[in-house]
Amino acid sequence: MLAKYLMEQYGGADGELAAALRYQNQRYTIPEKVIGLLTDISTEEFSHLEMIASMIHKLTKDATPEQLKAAGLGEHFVAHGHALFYNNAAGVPFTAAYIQAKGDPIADLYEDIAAEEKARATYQWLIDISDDPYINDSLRFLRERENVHSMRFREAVEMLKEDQVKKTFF
Amino acid sequence: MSEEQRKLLLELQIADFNVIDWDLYMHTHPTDMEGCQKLTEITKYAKKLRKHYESLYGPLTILTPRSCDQVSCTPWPWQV
Repeated sequence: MLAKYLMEQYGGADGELAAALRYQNQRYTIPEKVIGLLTDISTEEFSHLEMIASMIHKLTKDATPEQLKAAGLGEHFVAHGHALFYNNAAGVPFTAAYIQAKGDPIADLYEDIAAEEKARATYQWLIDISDDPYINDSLRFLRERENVHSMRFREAVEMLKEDQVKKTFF
Repeated sequence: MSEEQRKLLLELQIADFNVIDWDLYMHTHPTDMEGCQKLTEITKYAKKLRKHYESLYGPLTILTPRSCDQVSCTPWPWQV
């Protein structure tokens, strides 16, 4: 059952794929000062995607079709066998409609902050519903990373705002 | 994978993580000299540790020179 829930962070709206793709795409039109930040956080999100994938794979690789069915993954099994797929926990496939690139630095960074907070909340709900202490260790790590990313994005907004103020003076 | 290899790999993962975290911090605190020094130190340490690990257990990335039979060898990260 936990593997199914973890898919929310694999192919879900607030998951790691959405985060990684969002930042890596926004970075082309973000001010010079924060391109590096978006790039590095995006890269880290891709590595988190690998972590989630490893967890789902390890939880499901030896499961029989009956066990998968009992865990609510019968539909997943008939479409994908033991393969992973970018679905959310309800089996809905990933779509780029989950993310945005507005070409406006403040709009984009506020979306990024919101994305980190939503991912943090999702990790909290996953921890609350999980009964696996080892998976929970990793989920707590990922939850903390979302906190750090949110903080860095907030600082980036402040940096850009300072620049805006300077421009009006000169 | 032996216990020693596992331990060294974990140490390297911790060192690499330190680099990633301090790097993010420096993006939004570019004038923090203490942070800058810390980042330089831990980057050097992580590099040293990586070299040591690779000398014992083989390449971790494609940028490390290797023989052709090492191009695709297990375990991959999710198999550890």
